Amino acid sequence: MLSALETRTVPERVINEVEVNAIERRVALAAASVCATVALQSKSWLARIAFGASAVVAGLRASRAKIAIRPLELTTATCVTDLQRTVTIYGSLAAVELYFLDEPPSLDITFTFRPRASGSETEVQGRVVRWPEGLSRVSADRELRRILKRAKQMIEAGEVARTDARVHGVRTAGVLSGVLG
Amino acid sequence: MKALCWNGASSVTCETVPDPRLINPHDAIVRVTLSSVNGADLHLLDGHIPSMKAGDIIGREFIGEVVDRGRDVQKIQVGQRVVVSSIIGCGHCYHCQTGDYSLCDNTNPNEDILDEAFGFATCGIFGYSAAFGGYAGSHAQYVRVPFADLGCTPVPDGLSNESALFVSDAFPTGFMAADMCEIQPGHVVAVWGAGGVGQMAIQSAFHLGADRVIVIDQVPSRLKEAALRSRVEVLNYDEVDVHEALKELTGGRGPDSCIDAVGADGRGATVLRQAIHSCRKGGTVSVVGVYGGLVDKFPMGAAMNKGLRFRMGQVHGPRYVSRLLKMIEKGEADPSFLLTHTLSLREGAEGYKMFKSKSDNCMRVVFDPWLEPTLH
Repeated sequence: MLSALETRTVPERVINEVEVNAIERRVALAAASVCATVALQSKSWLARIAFGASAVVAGLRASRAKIAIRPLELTTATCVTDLQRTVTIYGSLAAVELYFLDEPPSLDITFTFRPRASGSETEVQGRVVRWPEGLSRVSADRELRRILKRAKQMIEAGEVARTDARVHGVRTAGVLSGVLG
Repeated sequence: MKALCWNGASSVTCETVPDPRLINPHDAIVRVTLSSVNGADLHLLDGHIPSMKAGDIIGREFIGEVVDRGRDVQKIQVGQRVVVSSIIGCGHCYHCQTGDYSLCDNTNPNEDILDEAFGFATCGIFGYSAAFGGYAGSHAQYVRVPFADLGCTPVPDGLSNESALFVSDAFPTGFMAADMCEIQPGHVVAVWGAGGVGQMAIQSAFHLGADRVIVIDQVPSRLKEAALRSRVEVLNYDEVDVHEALKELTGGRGPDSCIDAVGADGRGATVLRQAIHSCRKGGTVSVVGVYGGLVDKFPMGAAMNKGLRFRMGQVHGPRYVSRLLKMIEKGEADPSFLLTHTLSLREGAEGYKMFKSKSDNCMRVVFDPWLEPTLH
């Protein structure tokens, strides 16, 4: 028999996302580059001065765009209540719950805990209740899966599995000396 | 350190790479003493396993000495000689708790790849592509072993490295193949493949009570070796119709269990089809040879209508390691005869070429990472 569902909601945290206006910066940089090229190749001093000044203005615009910050407020969040994932964790309800309450994730996610009949396992369902506008559902889903996977590994195994790509050899193919037959 | 790296289909080279380091608290660093080639490696070399990256260190079957350990490693001490299971289990998830270590939930950092391909991700495996975790393999001077308390098993003093080495993979794989057959007194077991795993399956089947074991291969030296080691009956599939021969040898009934110790080879799944065809009605087909993706022309009709039982999987190494070490200690088995050639890492390409072509009566090439080249 499964016991009644028990729900815990992690505290809300304001998400301030630093967003660089990349398109604006790229356009300004391209304009600066074109103006500078024309200025350098022009035979007329007047044209050189005009295009040179334009290049400087576009360059300044690009540098300003580079540091532009647009904070994302929770007031702009969209509701995505259908986005959910479930993971079964080998651990008691108390142990699993404790982990989630001790380490609230950075998203606005509701977790529902349900002990399985065996008593040794707990089902955790994560549901993204709000997600900032401008970030895709894919990234929300990825974050939710990452959190659940990390929690499962930490609770069950005490660490998160990682590999050390640095150890492998040079990532280039075609060393003929080692070719088999 | 020196390591043998995969550089594309049929290309391996010995390269100098950074030493591994402790990353997680349950890690150990093992100084490799011996590292064996493995039939599954040939799938990598033939380019059948996706998600390999040029530069990946290969090798999964090894023995060595612990030289460093993470803060949460409790059972293994620095300086201990250990044999390391080829598959990586965490020891704590549902599957590990039920002894199915190769189905571990927690040791594959790249689980998305297998989630997509297989529906669920399986465990990490040393030196076996990004899909199986991207872990560096054992054809190297040092290896990082995650969850070392489970993966590393101390080797009793009386055992040689050559005897204990194959407890890393070949012996438990062969043993598991026989174990999955649930052999009863009087049973006849047919084993396809007289390579390292097949030889171990033969010994294990007899150990678990098989009345008769029949091995099928085409390499005379391997069939001869099998016959020398036990009272196995041999069939050379180049010389006989295997199905008819098996029928004849079993009084028209067929073997009670058929073990596929070959897996996907250059011709697809010939062995699997033959095993299904030849297995007696209601018998067991046990598959430990490695398959990577889809199998064409799988005779599902024969399997279903004959009521066959299928058991298969990558080896659940830690389930068997202690038991097999004890068997070797008692003299009930000795896998050391599998080692036919010892080479240096710089001879890696030659070693795999020899292993693949089975030339010079090669059963298993084993690399000693500290050895200087001897060929040429």
